[in-house]
Amino acid sequence: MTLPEGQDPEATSDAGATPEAAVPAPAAAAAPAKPARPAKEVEPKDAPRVAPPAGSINDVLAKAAAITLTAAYMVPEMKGECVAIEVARDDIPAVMTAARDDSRLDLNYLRCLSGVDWQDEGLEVVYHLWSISKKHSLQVKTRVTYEDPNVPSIAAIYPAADWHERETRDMFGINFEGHPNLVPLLLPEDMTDHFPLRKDNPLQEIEEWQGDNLRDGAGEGDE
Amino acid sequence: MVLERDPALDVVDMPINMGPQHPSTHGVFRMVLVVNGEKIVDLVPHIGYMHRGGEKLMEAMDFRQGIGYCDRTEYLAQFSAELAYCLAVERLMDLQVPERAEYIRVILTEMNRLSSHFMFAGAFGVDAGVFATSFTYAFPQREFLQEVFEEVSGDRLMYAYFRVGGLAWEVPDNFVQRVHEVLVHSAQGLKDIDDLLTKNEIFMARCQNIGSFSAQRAIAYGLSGPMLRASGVPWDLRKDEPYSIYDRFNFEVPVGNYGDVYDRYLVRIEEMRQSISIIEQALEQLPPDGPIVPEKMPRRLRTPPGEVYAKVEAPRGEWGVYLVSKGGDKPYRLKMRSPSFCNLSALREMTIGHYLADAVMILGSMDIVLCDVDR
Amino acid sequence: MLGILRSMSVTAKVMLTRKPVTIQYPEVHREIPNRDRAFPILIWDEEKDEPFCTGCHACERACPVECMTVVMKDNPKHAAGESKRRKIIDEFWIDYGRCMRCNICVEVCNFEAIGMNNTWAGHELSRYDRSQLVFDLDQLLSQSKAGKVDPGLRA
Repeated sequence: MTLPEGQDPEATSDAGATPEAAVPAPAAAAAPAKPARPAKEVEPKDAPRVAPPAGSINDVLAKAAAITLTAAYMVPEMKGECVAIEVARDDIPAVMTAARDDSRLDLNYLRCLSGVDWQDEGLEVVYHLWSISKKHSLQVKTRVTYEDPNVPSIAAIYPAADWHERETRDMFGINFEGHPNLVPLLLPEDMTDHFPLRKDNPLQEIEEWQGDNLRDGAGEGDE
Repeated sequence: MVLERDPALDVVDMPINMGPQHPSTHGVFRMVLVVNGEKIVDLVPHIGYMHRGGEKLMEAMDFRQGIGYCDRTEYLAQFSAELAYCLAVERLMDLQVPERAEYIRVILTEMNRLSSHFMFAGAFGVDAGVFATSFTYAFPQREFLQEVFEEVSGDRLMYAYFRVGGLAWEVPDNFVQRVHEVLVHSAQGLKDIDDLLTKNEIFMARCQNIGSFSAQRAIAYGLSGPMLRASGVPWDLRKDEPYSIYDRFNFEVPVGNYGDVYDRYLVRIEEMRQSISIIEQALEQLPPDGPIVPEKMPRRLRTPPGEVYAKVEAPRGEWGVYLVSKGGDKPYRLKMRSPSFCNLSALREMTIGHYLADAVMILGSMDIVLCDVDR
Repeated sequence: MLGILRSMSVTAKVMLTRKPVTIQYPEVHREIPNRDRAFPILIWDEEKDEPFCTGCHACERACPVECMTVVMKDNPKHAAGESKRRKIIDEFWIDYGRCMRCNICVEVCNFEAIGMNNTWAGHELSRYDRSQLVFDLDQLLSQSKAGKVDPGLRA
């Protein structure tokens, strides 16, 4: 059974237009929907921040690395909570070296490194550290701007960070200074100026492109 | 008298391209090996052939829609991937999953581990030169397990069965009996594989002392799962940071001594035995009836703003989901920390100095899933 | 040497005992479980002689891959007093080439009008052109109209 070829593309595009006008597509950004219901603005925009108890690993780390932390707060973990710290980007090597080498911390396992695009507030790099012997974890975060997205590489401190940093450069354009081989990993090798996971890359256009192309070309292939 | 050697016979470094379409790369993976004679002097892995931007796609999906994409990322341990995603959302929403749903999740996830390790045993045998024999023993077992998954979820591969808060629907009435039946098959299949490979001298000669990684290096390179445990680090998320209800079961964490390819194989075989034991315990404790979704389940899944890093012990290692939410029904950022990606990043260090043929063994022992490497 | 003999004993044992399990597929079909999820189809209301679907767009909005297109119209049978459905489905397309068979459309449907096909008809859908995988309302309803839907279908 095939579609009647003469009428199909027209009918489909007609049908496609009606619901889209009536109902906002689910993938549409939250921004245009927001003014519609101002009464619900009671929802907090940021998670409430609870300072870690005194003597937590953030204090130990600040002393061991001899730096001051920008912020320290608790974030939820699977069970319970763990400490998250924010540091200036130039302090990252000192923090990581101290976290790995200090015997009270012994955060020897880098489990994850990811980027987050906070739009107006710049780009963020999040490091998830874990101590296999002490069984505690720590999140380290640092913020950079779009104009100057440079963060010191920690690939020499944690070899695990090598590929993670390359991936984060691919996706967010964060330049990890001192990385031995910062070439695109997941993306094509010549794709060095487009960063797909940044928020200024909308998804919607790609979706529409697929749909229209498929429908316009309907039935042409088998003639 | 000094013998003169013909300079034309000098061995020079030669680059060899392997992949992206190669039967022993387990998917679309390419590596450029620089060999001197038969010895590998350098290796450059190339990944990303299957990058589909899953993380970006999931930013546009609400928390129910995203579950289907977890399956497609880790297509050999789908339940583990779904579980990590659900756990992350549940932690942010502060949802309590009902007991029965937790038990069914554990049973299915462990069965999934069995099927994934059967897949490993089959594919690894092929890498080792057993040719298709190991496949013919491992695959029927995987098929038996998949039949149960199909009866439960309705699909053979892309289950999409876990939901935030519990399960999509109730398991069939004969679920417990079916799992018992399949476990008998699995135990038999495990014994067959064990007899076939473990003490086989040719297989042992092929595997031992290859790709050894010390515990310290394994930790530094971020290896996880059987790769890390083979190096002698008894680190299993089910024991160390028990999620779901894993703290209710008795099981051992197998650990290797040498961190070589053979140890990785042994660890996985032993893990399968432990999985069978966990499933049996879970079947015993499984509440005969009860809800499978929380009573106060919100109609629309909305998380408060916040962030959480959820992780599960997937068959290949730590499967992590870093979920950042700004409130609302979609993730603001979703990062999938896949074990294959992290394990594969150590491939270069592991292979340098070995023979060319051993590179295939080392890659096979990682048991990578390329969809999960590229996401 | 002993290990190799042990390995060979496994193959010998299986060679003698295991029966072939192959199913001659195109002639013989494997039995599929009644929860099988192939592709979504629409269900025909035999009583009122119209589809259950009212074209409410719930599935269209919930679809993760946006493979559905729904158009609703006023139900002429409602005007004639034959049916309680004010609105009825006018046009419905599902692009099976995009559908990821996630079952979400079935879960969100309030009228039990859509279900995942659980017969072999839902699996044997190979086509020469991918545009032929865009199924229209008649095609989506045909199986249910003909009464060939498995009774275990969960709509």
